[in-house]
Amino acid sequence: MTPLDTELYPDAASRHGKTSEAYQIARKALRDEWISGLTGAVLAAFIWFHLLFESSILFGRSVYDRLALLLEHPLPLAHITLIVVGIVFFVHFIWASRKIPGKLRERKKMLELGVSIKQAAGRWEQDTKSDISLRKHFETSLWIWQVRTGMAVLAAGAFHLILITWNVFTDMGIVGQNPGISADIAVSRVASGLWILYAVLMAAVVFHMAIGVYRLLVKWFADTWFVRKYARVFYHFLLWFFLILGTATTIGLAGPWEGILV
Amino acid sequence: MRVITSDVLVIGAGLAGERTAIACAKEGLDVMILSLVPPRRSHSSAAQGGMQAALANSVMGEGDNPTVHWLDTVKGSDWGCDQEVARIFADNAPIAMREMAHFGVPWNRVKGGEQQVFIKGKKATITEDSVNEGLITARAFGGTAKWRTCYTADGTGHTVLYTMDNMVLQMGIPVHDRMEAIRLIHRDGRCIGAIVRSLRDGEILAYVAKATVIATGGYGRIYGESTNAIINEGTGSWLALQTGIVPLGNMEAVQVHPTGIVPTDILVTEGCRGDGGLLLDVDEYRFMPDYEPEKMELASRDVVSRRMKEHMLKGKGVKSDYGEHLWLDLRHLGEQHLKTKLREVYDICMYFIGVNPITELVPVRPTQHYSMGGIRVNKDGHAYNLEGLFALGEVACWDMHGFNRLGGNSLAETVVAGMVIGKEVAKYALQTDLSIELGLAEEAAQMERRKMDSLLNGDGTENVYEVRDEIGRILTKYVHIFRTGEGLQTAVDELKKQIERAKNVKVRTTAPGMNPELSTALRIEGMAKQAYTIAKGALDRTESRGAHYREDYPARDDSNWLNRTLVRWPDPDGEPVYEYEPVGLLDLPPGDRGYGGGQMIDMTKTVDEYNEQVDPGQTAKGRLSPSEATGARLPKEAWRAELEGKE
Amino acid sequence: MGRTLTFKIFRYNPTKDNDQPHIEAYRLEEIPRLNVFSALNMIREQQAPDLMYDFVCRAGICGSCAMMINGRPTLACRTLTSDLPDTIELFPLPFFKLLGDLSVDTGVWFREMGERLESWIHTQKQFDPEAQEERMDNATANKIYESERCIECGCCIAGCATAQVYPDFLGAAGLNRIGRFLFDPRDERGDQEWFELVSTDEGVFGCLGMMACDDVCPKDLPLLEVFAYIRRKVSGMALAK
Ligand SMILES: Cc1cc2nc3c(=O)[nH]c(=O)nc-3n(C[C@H](O)[C@H](O)[C@H](O)COP(=O)(O)OP(=O)(O)OC[C@H]3O[C@@H](n4cnc5c(N)ncnc54)[C@H](O)[C@@H]3O)c2cc1C
Ligand code: HEM
Ligand code: HEM
Ligand code: SF4
Ligand code: F3S
Ligand code: FES
Repeated sequence: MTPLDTELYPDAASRHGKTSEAYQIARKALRDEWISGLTGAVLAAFIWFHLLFESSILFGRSVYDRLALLLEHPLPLAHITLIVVGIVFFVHFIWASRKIPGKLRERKKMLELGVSIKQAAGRWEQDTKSDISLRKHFETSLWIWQVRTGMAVLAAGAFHLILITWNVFTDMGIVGQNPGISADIAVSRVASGLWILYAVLMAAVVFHMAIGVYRLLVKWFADTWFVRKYARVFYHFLLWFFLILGTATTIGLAGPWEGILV
Repeated sequence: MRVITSDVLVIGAGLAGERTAIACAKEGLDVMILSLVPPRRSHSSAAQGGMQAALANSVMGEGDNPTVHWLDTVKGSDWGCDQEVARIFADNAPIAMREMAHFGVPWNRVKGGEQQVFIKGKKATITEDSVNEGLITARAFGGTAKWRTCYTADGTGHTVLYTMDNMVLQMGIPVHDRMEAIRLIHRDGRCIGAIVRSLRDGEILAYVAKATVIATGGYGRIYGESTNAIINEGTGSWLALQTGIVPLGNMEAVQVHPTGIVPTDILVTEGCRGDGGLLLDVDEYRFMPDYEPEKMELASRDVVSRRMKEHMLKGKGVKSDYGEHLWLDLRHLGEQHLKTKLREVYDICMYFIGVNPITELVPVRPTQHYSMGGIRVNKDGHAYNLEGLFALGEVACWDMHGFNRLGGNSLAETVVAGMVIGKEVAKYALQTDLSIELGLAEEAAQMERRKMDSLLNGDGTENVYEVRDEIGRILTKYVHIFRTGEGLQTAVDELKKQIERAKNVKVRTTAPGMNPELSTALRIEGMAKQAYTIAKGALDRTESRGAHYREDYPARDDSNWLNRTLVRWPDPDGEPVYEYEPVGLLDLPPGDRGYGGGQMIDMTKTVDEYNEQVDPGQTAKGRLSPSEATGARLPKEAWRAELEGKE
Repeated sequence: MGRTLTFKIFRYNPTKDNDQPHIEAYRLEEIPRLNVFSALNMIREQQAPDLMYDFVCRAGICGSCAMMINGRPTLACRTLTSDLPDTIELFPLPFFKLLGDLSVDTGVWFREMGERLESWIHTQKQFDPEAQEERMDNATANKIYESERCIECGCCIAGCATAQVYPDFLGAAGLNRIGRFLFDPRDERGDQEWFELVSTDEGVFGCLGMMACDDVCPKDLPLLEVFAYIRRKVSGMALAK
């Protein structure tokens, strides 16, 4: 029996050079993915601490102020964080939104898919008047909600950041007041009506963060021992823990629950 | 009409077809593959068990070699096979397995040290030699002396077919899927291609080639109840029978498996009974010990099937909307066992019939499984009487299986035959000129168009599905495990009527395109006529051999019937012509198989006398002369050392 | 038992002039252990002889019969009607080319995918028929087999929102195939080559982690695990440079 010789496979190097266009494209794709993922992770971690610190209002203004002071002295941590987070926030927005379907048609399709993978009409168009029932796919819908909440966070968060920047770097025209974060300012600001904005921002950011962390875990760490089920449990924990905590904090900042825990 | 030319036309993209295509493409030939379905959906992918090859890597395969494999195969065939072909097969099987490993099949490998296994249903411990660690391992199968069946878990056919198709991709061989060959183009004993109907849009095309290869798999679906894929409707063997000159061999040799589930007829493995599963009747009574006190549920496939049928005929079957069946009881094996060792069986029961084998009985019945017979070819795979036509795989009667094939031998056959016959096809194509006879192709296409026209617009009255079901019912009733002269005569008479009905079919759908009803209607004549050849062949063969069991002639008769049935159908409106030829050179003289019991009537001729008439006998029936003299590949009496070494 | 089932089936024959996609309803008495395969055959044989659909193995192993059953892509042959409500809606898989009614062309898509990925073992070694096979660890063989089990049914593509929007995305089945060859020590493709193939928006970074593929895959392939492995592997490749 004469052997069937399989085609000899040339050395990879002879087929591909480091300067090749394909290689550059691949490098860029990897870098992009890392940037959006890492900035997302950094922001998520920041938000955990941020929301925890904010919740100190539930122990009363003095606890809140002491914490704020701790973050300002001796190192101007808040200033540094503000700059860093501002940049990361911006970078994340730019890089993460590259995955948002751009063209209107595509986006429409994607949003439909969030409602039902069946409506992913593909090559045929779904008759919108038909009584065909729809079936949701949970994680696909989550992704759509991540995009939506991302938009909300962009708007409300940017406003909040600007406000805080102004607050931290100037004395806001309040004579005798040191520039910085203080319970008085926070409470007066939130209680004055901004609480609506904060409630929306809080809910949006918690959703966005929890979904993002869930997907990051699955995308990078799924393994025989780390199955999706665990990531999903963690998602539910993050979501409900921070949603409840955040709600309490908002109510605390808006007045009624301030110092409720002491 | 579009005409597509190539050097080699391979009809069928299962393992046999693709391996042939690869062999030809390697020689620089321009190859074209046709298939009813995307290649990876071919029925080869459904085989789970494995492929036999004497690699002898596992400790349970120690002492194995191609000669032992050959011995098992010849005995398994009940001496109905061509012993030289069986030898070519056994010698090349190990090479084929290794080559498939080279191509990428993730064969399960030997793991050194102690292993927990089941032997004959009992827990046992074997110790694998660490020297062999990492080599291809093997499992046990029915009718084999050694553990010889190479496997990838329970998806052997799947991985081997996927790997093969990867090679087809690598070599850039085009596959036109959803294309059905419906007629061969031939003249003066030379085949130059096929007329093909597109199952995408109904277009009729001609594919013209120097060599045409049929590798279309089995015809199990003619039986209706079958473990085969629903596309296995015998369209390939019909291509040959339709020519009127190419004979089909041993059509009456049909294998039945004891445990197809009801209603879907999906196979559940023999391992169920191997691990302790029991067969129960309508009263949930365990009946096998009454029939086979020795082996009970674990007697050989044909014996168990026969007993099950016998019991059902006594009125002990369970009646259901899907016909009668018996029960397979796995409940006592326990959840743990069913969810690990028999996971596939568990899944099949849960998904397909909604039966939980942990708590419920599984409905089973003996079901048609494999066709030993098919297009008769010489040892190069060249069809009788028609130059330029080759056949291999389940559709062919190359004849290494005789009247009964061993589990694990048919998947291996497809790949080995692809290697061996593929080379001969290439050789033939390289020394032949392409003859594009458009007139001839047009003529052939015209015949098919007329047929379609009469089906669509004629004044027929029959419903094609009813005729198809009736054919299956007749075969399953009379030409199954038990055959009697009386029953077979009824079948022959009834099937004759079905052939007439088939001519009178009316297609209700006039929609253009794929038209599934028309597709079936175009196949129905072939199904009816092949059913007839099976029944008639079985009626004429007045002996029992392998899977062909005649209650009225229970003995194997080597004095009269040590031969192969050949059937041609020269006059489409007349009767088929039956002839018989010697099975091939005998090296191992006919004897006791060592299982199955049964009586034997000895040969009257001596082996030498028999062997002398092989060449003239086969040539007279239209065998084209093979590339090597008959017997060139059969090492004389190599088995003696093996058998004597044992004593 | 004793239910009358209503099948609402998407009908469209592209080869017929002026045919419009529409939905037709068929009624059928349910019998025990009826599955969608048998039900469709009954409908075709008794009510709609021109109904197009694909079955081959009818045993859940060939991948031919994937379709949308009540909004979920799955194998029709192994779906029992007893697990479904009285009204059963059947649509063809989205994304793939529609051949007619419930029949779509998955075969061509998968062949193209295989060609794009060069889905075969790349090796410089010659096969030697005399030699013993090359050794492989059984655990490695099993790992390859886990990914090799894909039956190319297309459910994961049909269920993936990303694949619908970016037709060039290789999809879960494509990524899984990459994993199968990455795991295989016989494939001699170098890091850089893999990197160029995989680290793209058509490749692994096209996947946004919607996880529908994992939910609908009838073979329960460890898809997410394979994707995560590829991501880590690809990052490692870049860092090694
Ligand atoms: C349930 C089951 C389990 C099995 N398990 C085992 C096992 O464990 N071990 C073993 O050794 N054997 C097993 N077998 C047997 C084995 O699988 C088959 O014999 C073998 O796969 C046949 O391969 P093939 O290449 O000849 O044909 P197939 O794989 O059936 O391929 C036939 C090809 O021909 C094409 N075709 C058919 N007609 C036409 C036409 N008219 N025009 C164009 N194309 C056409 C089809 O599309 C297909 O591509 C099993 C069989 C069954 C039913
Ligand atoms: C400027 C407003 C924001 C927008 C428009 C935005 C948008 C997005 C989008 C579209 C994604 C999906 C990217 C992908 O799937 O690859 C994403 C991911 C993510 N975002 Fe944001 N986001 C914003 C702010 C934030 C903030 C404030 C946080 C922190 C809580 C955050 C945390 C994450 C995380 C953890 C991910 C997952 C990253 C990944 O899957 O790769 N995002 N964001
Ligand atoms: C370093 C930068 C930041 C600082 C110093 C900061 C500071 C503060 C302060 C002082 C408050 C109390 C309310 C107030 O005084 O107005 C607050 C509330 C809040 N901040 Fe920030 N913030 C920062 C960045 C962000 C970012 C990036 C987000 C999310 C996009 C965010 C989300 C919120 C939310 C949701 C609340 C309300 C908390 C609640 O009601 O539970 N902050 N922040
Ligand atoms: S990965 Fe699963 S769903 Fe996708 S094609 Fe393969 S078997 Fe089907
Ligand atoms: S559904 Fe699609 S986005 Fe990724 S995880 Fe699966 S391929
Ligand atoms: S028909 Fe093969 S998977 Fe359903």
